[in-house]
Amino acid sequence: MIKLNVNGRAATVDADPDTPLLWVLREHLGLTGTKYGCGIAACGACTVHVDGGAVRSCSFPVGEAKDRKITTIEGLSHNRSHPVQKAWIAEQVPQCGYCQSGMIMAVAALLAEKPRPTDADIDAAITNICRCGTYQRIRKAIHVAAGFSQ
Amino acid sequence: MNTVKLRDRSNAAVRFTRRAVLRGGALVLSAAIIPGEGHAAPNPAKETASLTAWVRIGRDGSVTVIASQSEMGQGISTTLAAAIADELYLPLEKVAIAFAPFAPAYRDPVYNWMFTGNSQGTSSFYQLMRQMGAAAREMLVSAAAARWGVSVDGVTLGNGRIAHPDGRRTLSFGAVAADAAKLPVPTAPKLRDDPPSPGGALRRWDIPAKVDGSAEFGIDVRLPGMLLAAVRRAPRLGSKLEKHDADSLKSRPGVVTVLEISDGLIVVARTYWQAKRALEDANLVWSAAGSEFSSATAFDQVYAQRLSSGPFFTHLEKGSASSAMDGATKLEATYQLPFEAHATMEPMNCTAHVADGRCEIWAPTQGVELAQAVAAQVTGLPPERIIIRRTLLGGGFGRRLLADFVKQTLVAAMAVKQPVKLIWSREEDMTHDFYRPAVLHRIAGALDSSGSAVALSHRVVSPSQMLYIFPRSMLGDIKDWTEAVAPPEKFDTMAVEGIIEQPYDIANQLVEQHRLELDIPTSVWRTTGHGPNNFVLECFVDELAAAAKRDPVAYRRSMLRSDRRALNVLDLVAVKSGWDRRSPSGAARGVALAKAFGGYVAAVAEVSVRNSRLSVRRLTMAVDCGRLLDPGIAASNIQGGAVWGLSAMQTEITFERGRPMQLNFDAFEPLRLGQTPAIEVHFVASDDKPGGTGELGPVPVPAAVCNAVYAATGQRIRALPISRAGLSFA
Ligand code: FES
Ligand code: FES
Repeated sequence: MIKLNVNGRAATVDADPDTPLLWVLREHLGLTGTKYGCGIAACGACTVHVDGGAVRSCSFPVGEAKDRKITTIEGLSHNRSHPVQKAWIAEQVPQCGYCQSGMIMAVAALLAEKPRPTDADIDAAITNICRCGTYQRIRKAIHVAAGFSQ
Repeated sequence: MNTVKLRDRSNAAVRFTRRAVLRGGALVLSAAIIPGEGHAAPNPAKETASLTAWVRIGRDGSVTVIASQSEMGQGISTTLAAAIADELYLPLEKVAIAFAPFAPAYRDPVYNWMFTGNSQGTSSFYQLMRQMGAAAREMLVSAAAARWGVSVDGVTLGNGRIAHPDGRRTLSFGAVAADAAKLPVPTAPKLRDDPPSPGGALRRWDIPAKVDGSAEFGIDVRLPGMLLAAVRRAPRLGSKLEKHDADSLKSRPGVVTVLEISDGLIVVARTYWQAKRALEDANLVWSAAGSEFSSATAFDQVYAQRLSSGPFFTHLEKGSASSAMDGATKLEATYQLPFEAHATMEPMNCTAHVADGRCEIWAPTQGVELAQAVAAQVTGLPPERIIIRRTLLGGGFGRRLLADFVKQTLVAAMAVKQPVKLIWSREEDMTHDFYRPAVLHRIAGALDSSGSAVALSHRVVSPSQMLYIFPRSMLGDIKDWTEAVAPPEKFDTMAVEGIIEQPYDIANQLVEQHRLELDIPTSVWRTTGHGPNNFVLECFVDELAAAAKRDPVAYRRSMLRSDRRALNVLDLVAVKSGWDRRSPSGAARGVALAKAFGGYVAAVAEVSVRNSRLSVRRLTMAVDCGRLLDPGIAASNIQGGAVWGLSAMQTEITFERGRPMQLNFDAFEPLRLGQTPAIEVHFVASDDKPGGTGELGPVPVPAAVCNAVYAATGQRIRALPISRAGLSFA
């Protein structure tokens, strides 16, 4: 049994501590907003926050998440009110949408650290893959979100 | 590989040609009831009435619009639902959208086959959806008029209610829906003459759920009592599973059962991780036999040999290219493109429950009818006992037209008699894709004394892209519809599209293909033949322009006298990119033009090359996709398409003795944000029939970039990926 704190709530899960956090979130806790894309920390579809920092949960054993604060896309806000979500809707960013939970979590972590990122900051920090190619709107929406947060 | 004759040459085959158009009289208004509606209704307590196959109205007045087309980010379900909603005088936010299970009413009228692809959702369905919305409106109006005992004239709709001519009394849609559903469907419903949405960018209905994690993709389906399955098939194509330790796997934590399939093993467990871990530790021994295909030698040996020896099928012969070449200034070049994987962000997956003589499937699929037919073949159940519930698709790009993953899931579901979700690992997804085939082209052109092309001859060595997607209903009896079947060559035109209907006035043209048979599965991939062929054609036109010492835009213009739409996009892209102005220092520009998917697109790339690093600084695109239904959705398709085109310049799948070598995103790297240039999209004002935008964007991008590289460095790139030319994207 592993005790977790996910989206501000305590949860106890019966999983092998080696199990990637991704699959515990999706299957044990039913939080399917976090996606599987590669399983090797190469695409970012599974990005969540652990103690506020962006983590690729496919490569993060649930055992290490014990006693740490985990936030998933479902816990980012109520009613899509986080500045990044608002910007994503305003700019109509998603296409298929599959990568977008991970994108939004990666961007939220970036903005928490750098409220006014430059394009170079964005290039360096947002390395998630979007196969639909929504990058141009992502860049724009990041700047919009940075404006909302002021 | 099977080759079969078409079942019905006179009719279906004619419809299947790419340029076939929906003839006026072909429209059938269908009042079909949606199969399985009884158990499909999300809220069985809420009675609904069906007005045609496309509109359901609840007693409470709620309106549900049925979507034939799958949503994979191309926005089609918004555009088509809005067309129906407009005709009902409802804003899009007031209607719910439900994806249809298979029924004949939802077939694409051009191919008479239910699928989503080929960028034809708009051209096939937009007008039909307007008519269906109008039909539903007239039925509601008639029912209300009958209730009031007045004539239909003067009865109007607004805010989800029907208004009496007296301007005071109103009825809700829900109050008359049951009566309306009993009326005959109008055969010639009158469309609104003031539809509000065309021309404006709509807020896509699916976006809110895609920013809060609630959007349901196939991989997210959860059912009571559901088990999870992982699969591992031969890492080498064509190998079989010879030995395994299934019995020891069964004692692993959580494992419920282990199933042997011909070339692999499926493990069913309580959780996906348990299934996947058990498989990873499994001791699987593969047969020594398998595909010997190696890409390192394929171009020099297999492809090159066929390029010289054939045999060839002639897809186009206009004038005589060979006599026009005699004595003229002649240019010839060989181009090649690699295999590509679809690599949808959501790997293949499917959920199924087969029990009590019924089969339910939850699938992210573009190919509903094929999946339905395959389910009938696998389960032996009659079609009416099978229902396919579609989820959103985490990318499709053609991969999800196929039903191999559905079939595999059904095998597992039938074995365990419980709901099962089967998820492919990324490695499985890359190893068992149906790849965009590698191609080898020899293209030759002849110039007259002014430098204009008077002949173009094109020889293509390419596997078929249609082996798995050619509508099965048109083919003879095939036991397993997931198997490859080669259609008659005459109709197997995807390998040559874009070059059999290119826009330039060239009097003598020849297009021949050797249809290469490989033991590597090949199929359609976003841009089908248009993408690779445009790279060849437009790079070569640039070579001709250089040989004629002409400006690449002016040269193209001089050969486009008879194609107004092509000229329009070329002129627009030249203006918007500042073609006539000098490039910024260190940069150079290249242009390419494409006619594809019922539209036109031109691109200008501005690049710089330093130390073998290719940096695309700016991409300017001009598009004529016919009447623009939604500029927001169209622009996002074109921009995303441009990224797809750039990605395809750096990705490839290679094979070593039948083994695909790029199994994950560490080795197969699509473009990332930091490599993406500013992409400007400009639309030509057009009244032509709406065409597709989903696959149009990528088409001219590789040629425009490579032509810019030539302008910058003098280096011609005739083979992709660009790593073959010693370049990589900065
Ligand atoms: S699934 Fe975790 S990074 Fe790709
Ligand atoms: S929106 Fe489809 S992968 Fe990013």
